[in-house]
Amino acid sequence: MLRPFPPLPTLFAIFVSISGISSALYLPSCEGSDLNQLKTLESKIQSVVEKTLESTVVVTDGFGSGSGVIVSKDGLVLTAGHVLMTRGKELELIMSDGTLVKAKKLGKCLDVDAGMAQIIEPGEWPAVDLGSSESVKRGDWVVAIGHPGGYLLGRTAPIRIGKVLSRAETLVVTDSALIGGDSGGPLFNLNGELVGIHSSIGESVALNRHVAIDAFRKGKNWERMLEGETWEKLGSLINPERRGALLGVSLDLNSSEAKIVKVHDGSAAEEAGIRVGDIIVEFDGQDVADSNDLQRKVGRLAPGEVVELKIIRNGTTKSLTATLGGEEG
Amino acid sequence: MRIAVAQKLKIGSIVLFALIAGNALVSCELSAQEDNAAIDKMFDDLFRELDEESRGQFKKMLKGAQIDDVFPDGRIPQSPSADSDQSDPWGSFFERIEVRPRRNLLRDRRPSSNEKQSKAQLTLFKEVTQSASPSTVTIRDDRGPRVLGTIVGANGWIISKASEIDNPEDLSCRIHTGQEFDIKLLREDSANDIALLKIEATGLTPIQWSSEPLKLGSLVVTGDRTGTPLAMGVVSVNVRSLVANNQAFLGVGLQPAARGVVIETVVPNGAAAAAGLMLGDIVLSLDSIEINSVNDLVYEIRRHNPGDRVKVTYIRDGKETEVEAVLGGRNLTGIQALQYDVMNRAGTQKSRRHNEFPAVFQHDSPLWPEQCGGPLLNLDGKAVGINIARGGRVESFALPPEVIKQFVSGLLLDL
Repeated sequence: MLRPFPPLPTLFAIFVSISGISSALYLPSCEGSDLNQLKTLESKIQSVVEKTLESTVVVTDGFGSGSGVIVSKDGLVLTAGHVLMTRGKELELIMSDGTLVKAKKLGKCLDVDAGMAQIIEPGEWPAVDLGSSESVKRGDWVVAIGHPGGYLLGRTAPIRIGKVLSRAETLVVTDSALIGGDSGGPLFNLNGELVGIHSSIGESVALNRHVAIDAFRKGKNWERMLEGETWEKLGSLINPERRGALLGVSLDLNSSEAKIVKVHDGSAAEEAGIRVGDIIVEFDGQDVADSNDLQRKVGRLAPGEVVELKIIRNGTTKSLTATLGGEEG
Repeated sequence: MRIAVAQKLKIGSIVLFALIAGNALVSCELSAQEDNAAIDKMFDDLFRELDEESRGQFKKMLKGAQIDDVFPDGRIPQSPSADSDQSDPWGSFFERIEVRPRRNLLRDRRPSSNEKQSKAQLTLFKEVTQSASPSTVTIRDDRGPRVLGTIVGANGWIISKASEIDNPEDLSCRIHTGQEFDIKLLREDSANDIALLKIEATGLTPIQWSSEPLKLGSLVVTGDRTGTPLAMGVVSVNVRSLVANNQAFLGVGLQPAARGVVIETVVPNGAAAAAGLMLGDIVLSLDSIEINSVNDLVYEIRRHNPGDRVKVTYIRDGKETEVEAVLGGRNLTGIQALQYDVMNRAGTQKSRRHNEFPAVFQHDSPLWPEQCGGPLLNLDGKAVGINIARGGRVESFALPPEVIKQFVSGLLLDL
């Protein structure tokens, strides 16, 4: 059953950092303690795997396949929205022990690439706990499971680890390597709680994008998906509803952050004081994950709108204001 | 994103891939005779959930528009590449996704400081890799490191990756002290891709194997002969066989015929179906190799890999025709295999021999091919295996100690 949104986010965040896994802090040499840190990390990863491997499934319609994860004992499955873009309503899930189970599609919110399915065979299913992606921080370790390349008889779902490189409200970017077939599979924090669902990759092995679990619960998303509703468009992932706003920058598309590589002459960015090398971490009051995320956020606005930005330049954070440019007419 | 948006990968080009292993794009044909209008209709059908403009942009991208700078409003430059072939849009699309290995780009990319492969993060493993460095060697040619090796006997016995050691007389071996030796290649096990080498050295430190059973999620690290950690990861999948799991399939049932073989069944969504082959067609040759029996055709098909394109010559209604088919795999169709292959080449380089191992386990350390051949270490500094290949974007393979021990003990050696 749906676990209520964690009521103690502060305590949760403190717990994560007390466990000492945040390696944004590089501890100076005491050899013993480096290894101890790693052994603690290792034993947490192993526990996550034991706790969650059974709940990771293959989601297929017989032709293409992706992955999914069981989040309730009665068989509610979370996956990526695009995994459910198949003909027909029937799905087959392949459990970790190879058994086939029938399921039906529920709804999907394509804008964030979230989707749901429901097992329609009776039984009690191994479920994972939902976490909170808001409490996930840059530098946190995560565990990614899925079925790259589709289901392979005799191969358990490969485990990968990575660190959170950036995070926005509906998106988490990590360097746990993913590939075709992993879509819809689970991303866990070191407590074995679900914090993301695999969605897409970039060219670099270190650029892997996951739907933040909070996106599933945003507004009425959860209820609407349960009801079987489909809304928004997949294309808006790279081509947002264009209202014509332009910032006037080129971004490093291989970076896990929104890093500026070029500022166009006479652009809104130039006026605002944005410079090459700046990393945009906040736009219009929202966290920015990577270049793609920034493009979406800018694209949703209209020319002339005034926005506050936060950038990181040479290690310090600066606040800037930009008046967005755009197309005439 | 749902489809493989693949173009010539250049600096600054963004490639967002959907992680679904295959999708409705599967049903599109790769025949060079395909009608433009039919493709457009199929495309519209597949992407009916997108608005007109997005669909137009996707089509342009698939037909060869390059994305160098994608502006924040999502505007995409309208320049199909000069060599785009309008009469064969799908065929030339797949030609354009041939990715030349870009050795100087993502390979030399420096991980940012918060990545797991950053120097700061890898240094945490220094104690482990330094303890195993006396058992690690570099096999070099005149251009530099070719592959790593693992010392298994104090008197100069080394195990390395056979498929990288085709010219031992031109190679040398450097040990942790910096001393360099000539190599003698003594024995090869081509099934496991291991080679036994001998150098004229004594008093070396053989690798210490772990005796613990392998556990999913265990941390592993690979170091070089100087003790510098090269890559870290976790054990992803336990030991299994990778033999005969990458076979190609045409997707037909066959019967002998007076000349050639006759197609008796066509697997829906298979390579033959996608190429337009039908019940009753008589296959005469595959890639100009004459087919005289069912075994001939199966043998020829199996020699290929999923994603390979083959020319099938056949007779239908008395007329001889040729068609191109994209071979599928056991679980993937030809198109899916191609898409997977593109994703596997993004920012990764697979070892030349990266498949068909009888017993390997898998980890997610992002090794480069020349970083294979050496020991894979656990946090106790013991070797849980020898890295034998980079398999792709998400996988590296290692031989478990039993494979090495069996190979070595089968020889009478004064180790």
